[in-house]
Amino acid sequence: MIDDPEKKPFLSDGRVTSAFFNQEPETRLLAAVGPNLDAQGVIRWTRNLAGALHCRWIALYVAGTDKLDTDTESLLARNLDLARELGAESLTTTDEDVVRGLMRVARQWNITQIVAGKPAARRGWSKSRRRDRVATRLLQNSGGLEIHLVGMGGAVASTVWPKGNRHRRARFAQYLVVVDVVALVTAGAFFFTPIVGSHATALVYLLAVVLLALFVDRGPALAAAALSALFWDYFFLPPFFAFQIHSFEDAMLFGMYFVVALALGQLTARIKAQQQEEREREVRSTSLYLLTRELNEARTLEAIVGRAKSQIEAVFGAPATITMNAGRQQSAVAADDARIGSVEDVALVSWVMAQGRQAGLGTDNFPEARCLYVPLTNSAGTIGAVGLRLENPLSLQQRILFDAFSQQIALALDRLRLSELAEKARVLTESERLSKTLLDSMSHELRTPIAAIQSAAGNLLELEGAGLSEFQRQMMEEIGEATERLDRLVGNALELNRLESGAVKPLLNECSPAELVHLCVTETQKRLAPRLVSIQFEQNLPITQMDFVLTQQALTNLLSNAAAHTPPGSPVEVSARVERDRLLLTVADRGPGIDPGVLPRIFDKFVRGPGAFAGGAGLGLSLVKGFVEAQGGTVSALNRPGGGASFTIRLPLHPPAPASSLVPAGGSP
Amino acid sequence: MSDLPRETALVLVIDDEPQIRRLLRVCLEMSDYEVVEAATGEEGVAQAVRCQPDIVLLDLGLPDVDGNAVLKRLREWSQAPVMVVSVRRQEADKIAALDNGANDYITKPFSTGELLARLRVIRRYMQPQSKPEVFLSGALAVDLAARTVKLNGHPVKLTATEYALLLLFVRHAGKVLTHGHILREIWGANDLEKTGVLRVYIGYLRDKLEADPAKPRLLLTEPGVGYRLALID
Repeated sequence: MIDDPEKKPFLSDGRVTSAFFNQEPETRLLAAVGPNLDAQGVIRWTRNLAGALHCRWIALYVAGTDKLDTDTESLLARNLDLARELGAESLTTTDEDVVRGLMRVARQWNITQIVAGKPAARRGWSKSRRRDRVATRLLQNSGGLEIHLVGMGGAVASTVWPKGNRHRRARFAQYLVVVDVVALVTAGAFFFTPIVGSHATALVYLLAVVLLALFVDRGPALAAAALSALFWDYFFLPPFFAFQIHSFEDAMLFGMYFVVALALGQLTARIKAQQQEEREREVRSTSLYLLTRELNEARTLEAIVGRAKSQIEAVFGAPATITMNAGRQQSAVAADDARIGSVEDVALVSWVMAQGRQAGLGTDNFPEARCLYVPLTNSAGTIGAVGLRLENPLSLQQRILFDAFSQQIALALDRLRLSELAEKARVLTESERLSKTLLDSMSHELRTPIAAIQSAAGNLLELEGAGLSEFQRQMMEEIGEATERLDRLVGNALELNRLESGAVKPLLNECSPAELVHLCVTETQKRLAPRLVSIQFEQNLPITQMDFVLTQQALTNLLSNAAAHTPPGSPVEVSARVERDRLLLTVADRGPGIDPGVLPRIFDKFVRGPGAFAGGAGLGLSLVKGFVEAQGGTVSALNRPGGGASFTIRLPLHPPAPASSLVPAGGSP
Repeated sequence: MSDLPRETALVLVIDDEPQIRRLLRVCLEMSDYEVVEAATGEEGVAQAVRCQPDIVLLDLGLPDVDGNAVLKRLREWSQAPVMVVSVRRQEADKIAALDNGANDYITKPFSTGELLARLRVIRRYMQPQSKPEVFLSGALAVDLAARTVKLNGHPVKLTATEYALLLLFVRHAGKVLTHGHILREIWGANDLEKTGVLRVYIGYLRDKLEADPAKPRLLLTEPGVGYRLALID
């Protein structure tokens, strides 16, 4: 490690294995990846550095114009997969010049450091030389970038740089064609050379070379150039049938011909390769565009899966399957597909879904399988897998396209899931709003006339009280009392409705039990008045998490209940204490107690004791139960030894999950 | 409060129920208030502009616009005290109305006596000219200029936060202050998570100011809504 990277970016020999720990936040790393085992070392090394620097990194493969053979390509694909699994963005770009391609992408991505494989020690002469050159040029052209060259010891043995092996059989055929064509031109030339002269023949050869270069690869094209030059010299430049050249003019012509032919062959081959690349890229982007459009139009899971499947089959020309995670019931989508169902497929699919990694032909996992499965991963995790039944592994470009397809499908499924969630939330909000509107309007309709009666009676009493006779005053008080009772009944019925419709959401806050009890007693003082109310607190009552209003309503109801069922002058004891992890609020009286036959159902709706006072609908206690259970508490009743009833509210001191403990009132016996 | 208080206060009653309006008119006129009526929210706002009422009695369930919307529009230009008279008794409704600028909230059915008592409180604290240098309520005396607090004539020591809290209540004496309102004013906090802090400080104030902190007579709890400093003559 170097202490001062600013001053001394490289060691003097220019070939350095070093790490610069750049602390700037915008640090970004690029790992240069080739189709070799070394690259895996480079990838892991870069991942470690990225982890240490907490920065993003990408893995880049610069493809040349040459085609890679199958083995090399699958190695490359595995390398890029590895980088992706380790958290990198895996990219490929096409450039004749590896260094230029690296620098171009580095600029596009604002890369600050590039990691590449270190040139190997003397071994495999040509490869090592080529790499040496790339490394040296990378260092020379690095500009402001930091370059790390990473050596990987033993793995170097199997190094293959992008040059790759040719498709030998196809190449051989092309060489045959080249020899044939040049021989044919030569044969023809015997007839027309005497007429047009040897220099024009050179042009005919050139024409043949250009035409050949349009159809064959670069190597055969260059061979055609060389061969035609030799044939021309041998057969048509004096002295004939010899490789000698006498005149300086002919020598110059031969030299120029050779150069022009080589350059033409090279240029034509390059143009052709680029055209090919363009065409492939166009096919890829068009098919991706088509898929995206199809997926955007799809509104249901079946539509998305169906359209994606047909697009994949059209593009890759192989049977495709899409399997959804069994956690969702949609796994049936793929089950009806006759092409899936072999044991191998089932095993692979479940492995892919469990691991969230790809498996099958052309990957590191189960490469012997005759199919390829890629996980569908989105914000909800791995939700399914896309499969392709294959005879041969996909090419690198096809793999990239397949990955892009699976990402698009995963995104479309994510979009579907999110819109379903949003719709659910909207419906829920709407139904809550409706029920609130209904309750509001009910409450308005019932309470307005009650308000009118009470106001009228109140006006008369408050404002004209002095002018009323004793009888009139009594009657007004009767009206007032009955109205209050009616209002309480309406209030209870509406509250019960709110509880049962789930509109009551407990709002847990730190509350002081003592304050609560005093408030409730004060509130019910008027009704309790002729009774002897005593309040008992345990020392140091803890602050409790509860819904103050709900608890207050529950306790007030218990106190009103006591007031309604006990004779005036009898004692009512209110107490608060802690028992294990519960706060206990008890209201005990010395009244007639609860009828044993009613006791088990005392908190049910409309249940009233046989000796109950006239009036009251039997809603009060079921409301108490609802208010308490809504915040995760319980309520119980018992007859006290020595007479009287006792009601106890138990509230958890530390409620675990307040929202889920919502229980409608009166539901259970 | 543009001009001097009138001999009799003008009350604007905005309620869609004619019967309630009639009864309120009878009750208010017999207690020496002048009454103007409006049956809808739109009409209510128009009447408020026209006759500049001293007090507004506002129903929330209006046929055309929601009472809270009327409240917001009134508050855009008027500081006249608004008392909400509604059948809605959910704490959330009360908090919303109070936070939208209502001065008090009374639920229907209401007793005539309580309505008149609350109107008297509103009139008392809404007259800035009559706001004394020394605030008195029951045994409590707060000298706003000297920043001293006395209970039954004996000085009481308060911390800075306690005094700030008490001052807030004094400035809005008789009015319910929501938890959110107090937290914003004193702690600058916008989240209701801090209600626990508020409860603790109310506890400190009660310990120092109430004869029996368990049964407060000055600093009253409005369950689920907030607190109120009672005006005791």
